[in-house]
Amino acid sequence: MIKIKHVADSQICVIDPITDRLTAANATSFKDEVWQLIDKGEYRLVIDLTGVAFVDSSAIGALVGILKRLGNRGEIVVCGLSGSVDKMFRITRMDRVFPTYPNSAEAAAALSERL
Amino acid sequence: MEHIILMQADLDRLNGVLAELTSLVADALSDEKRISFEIAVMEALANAVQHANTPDPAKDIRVTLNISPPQVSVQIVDAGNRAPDDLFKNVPAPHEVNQMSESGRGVPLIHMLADKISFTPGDGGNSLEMIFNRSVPS
Repeated sequence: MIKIKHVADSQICVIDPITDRLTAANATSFKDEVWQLIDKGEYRLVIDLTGVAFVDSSAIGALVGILKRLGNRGEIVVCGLSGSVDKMFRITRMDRVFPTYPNSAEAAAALSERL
Repeated sequence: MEHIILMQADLDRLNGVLAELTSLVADALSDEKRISFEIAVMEALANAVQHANTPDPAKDIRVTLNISPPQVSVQIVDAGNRAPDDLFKNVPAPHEVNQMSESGRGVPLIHMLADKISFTPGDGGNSLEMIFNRSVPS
């Protein structure tokens, strides 16, 4: 379900959920796939939600689960929030839990600076 | 105008039913209100599938959408176990839920985003009606 892209000359992995709706219908499988990446040693993650038009609380829960799985081994940031996705992040205050960026390039650059 | 949708208690049906409902209200609600509608209705449908219908997933969830000049209402009736009477009482705001919690935001989102809620738990199923005003009261 997910598509991953490694940023050249870095340890950063950009993850595209490849769905326009991340909800109770698919949030668990999304979380499981990202968990597998973490378990394989991917510790610097950009979740790119540019193509996602809608998320529900299950998606928020999945992102929190990913953050907890990662723990203090690395960092996770989110990018590409718009419309209702941006609203969901604001009203749940997830925009204070996850650093957010306009796009994957800026997110990766910010992560690179902290390596 | 009334629309009735019978939905299987299956998570895979959620996105399709929500897309259908959102399409039906596209011209009735402002963009901002439509976003509230979409989030709240998704949370309610997901709750109906994940919790209330657990004993018998073969029973349909009945969704009734009513569009009238002052408001849009959505009633969701499941056929599951009786939900707690106080499910919608003393509900925290979504941001008051523990930030590291992976669940527990659905009811707070419904409570915050719908303009009015009427919840009736029952032994044969539960009914949740959410109302979304079409204009800001003067």
